[in-house]
Amino acid sequence: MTIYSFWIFDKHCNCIFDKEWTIPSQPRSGTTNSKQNENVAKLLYGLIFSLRSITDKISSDPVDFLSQKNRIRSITTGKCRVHLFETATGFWFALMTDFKQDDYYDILNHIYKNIFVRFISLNYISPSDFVENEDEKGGQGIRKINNKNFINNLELFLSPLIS
Amino acid sequence: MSSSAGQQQIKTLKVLGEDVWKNKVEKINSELFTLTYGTIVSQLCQDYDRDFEKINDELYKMGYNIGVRIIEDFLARTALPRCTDFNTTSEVISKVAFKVFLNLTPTIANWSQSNDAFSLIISDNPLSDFVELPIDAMKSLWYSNVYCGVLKGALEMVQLDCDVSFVSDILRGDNQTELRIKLNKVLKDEIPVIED
Amino acid sequence: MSTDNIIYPSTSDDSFKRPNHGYDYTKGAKSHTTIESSSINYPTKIYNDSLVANRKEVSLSSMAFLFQQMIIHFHKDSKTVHEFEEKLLTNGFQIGSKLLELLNFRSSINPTNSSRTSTFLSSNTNLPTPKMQSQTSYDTTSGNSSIPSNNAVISKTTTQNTISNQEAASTSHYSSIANTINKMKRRDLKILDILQFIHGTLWSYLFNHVSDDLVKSSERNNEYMIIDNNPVLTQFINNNIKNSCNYFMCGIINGFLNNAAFICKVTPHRMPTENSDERIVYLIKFDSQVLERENLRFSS
Repeated sequence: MTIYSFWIFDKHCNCIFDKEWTIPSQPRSGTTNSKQNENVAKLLYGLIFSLRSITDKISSDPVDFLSQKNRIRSITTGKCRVHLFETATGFWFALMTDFKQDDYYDILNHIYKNIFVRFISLNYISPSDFVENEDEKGGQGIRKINNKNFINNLELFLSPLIS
Repeated sequence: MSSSAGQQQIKTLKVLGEDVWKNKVEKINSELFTLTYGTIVSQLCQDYDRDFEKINDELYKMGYNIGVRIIEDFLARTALPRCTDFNTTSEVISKVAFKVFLNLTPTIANWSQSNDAFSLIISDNPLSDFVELPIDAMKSLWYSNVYCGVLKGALEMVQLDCDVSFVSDILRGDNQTELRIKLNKVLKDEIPVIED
Repeated sequence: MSTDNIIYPSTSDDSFKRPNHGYDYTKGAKSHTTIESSSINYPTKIYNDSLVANRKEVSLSSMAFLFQQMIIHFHKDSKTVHEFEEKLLTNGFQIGSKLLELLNFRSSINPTNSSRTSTFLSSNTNLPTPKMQSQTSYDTTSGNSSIPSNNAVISKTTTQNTISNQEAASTSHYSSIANTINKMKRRDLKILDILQFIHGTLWSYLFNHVSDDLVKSSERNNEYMIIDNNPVLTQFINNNIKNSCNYFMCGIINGFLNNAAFICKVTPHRMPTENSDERIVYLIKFDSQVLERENLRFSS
């Protein structure tokens, strides 16, 4: 099970966090929120966004809202697979991995519940909305999650999974 | 308006709310909650010199700040998706949200003609346990105004722009504590700006 | 003579310290109405609510969020850290003083009477035979406040014998809990007693468990420590003002002790151990007059 990278997008189409593991055996290696990943982030966002709008249009209306809409779980290409988890508040969590496992839903759910909510939402020092003005909406924002607790806990959690 | 499918949905939500409350929520003594809120309000009365309009606003703002964050906690615990219509929203707020955070189930009432506004009737409000308002506050203070802010903030994060306000409050001598929620519009999801 | 430090008796009413506020014959009667003390002319239901612990709970998240907003608001309004801590201390103080009265009252309600309290909180069951209530012993030491209320019970029960059971049950719905108290809990006069009460009863009331330790300082006679391995309220606050936020809890302890006439100062200190990273020690420094009083009273 190799995890290549992890991305978080918010409802303003911005990538607010990205982490890439370059050397698989060393979980603390790799880059966090690096500038080179900005373009990749935008492309990834665009890919997810387009596929999502298409699947929304294809699928029929659900009977009741609890049976969820037909949402994308993963996108597979020749070299890797991107797993998606989205919340009703517009946060998307994307995990780019190899093909060993079909579904990383539980892992992403855990990251959301126990790491993101615990260290970002419940922490009043960390902003709840990562844009500060109109210019940063629509994918043009630049603010990232820098919270050390979040990053440390994320690495701690994902490191046993990176082999 | 509720069909049998609607009834089934309401029941599922009720069960979900109770299940999350019982199993997934850490609990704390409600009296500590009441007392803390009481000192907050009395500190505000001191800070703003008993200008109750300002105090109402400040409680609303505090609630708003709570609301934009508490929605994430709520979604993490209940894993609910976005609601398809306002009816469902009202049920989720009443049977799941209030239950999970306050162990209350307010009743939904007074739907407007166009189905865009409803009232929540809260009996047994924990914030106002053993509270008595002085005469000048009774005229203009909405003691539990923080609820309005919380609901506004939380609903805004799921793209529902609403106006939330108190209609009546037992502490003011009315018969019941009633909160009115009116949907203004559904906010559109953002799309990325296209750069040349 | 006036510079001697008087050791004040342990009464919670300190009006004797201010002799000027009595009736001043040169001025006549003072009108003393504040806005708060204006008469309330609508029936508030709070006087009918039961004071018995009803074990209502809310989620920890709600409390944490509310606490955070309180911190933010106070922090905004304070210019210095000290002012911020003082504000938290004052607010906690108000809570602590209320809890002193409430918890003492509740611990006086005899737990074996719980069947009786539940009978008169539900209006459909019959009252237990009045004779049992009159047998509550008068052997208890003098000075407890239950004697007058028991007298009232006796006169009430004789008349109730003539009322039908149904009526008796319904009138009992509004009779006060105080009637079931056989022996009112005595005020704690010793330092150790009241600290035990905080360590046990207050902590269980607030957090559902007793505090992790109660320690007397070996270096100084007037210092005691209450230890909390995992402070519940501040667990989600993770930055440099975290320790200042513990002043709220200190305020609660302070209010509790001060109103029980144990003047003290309480401060929080973070002392992590291997097991608990967030361990907080609440250091309670009693005023010297408290120790003097204790020595005078209880040293043999």
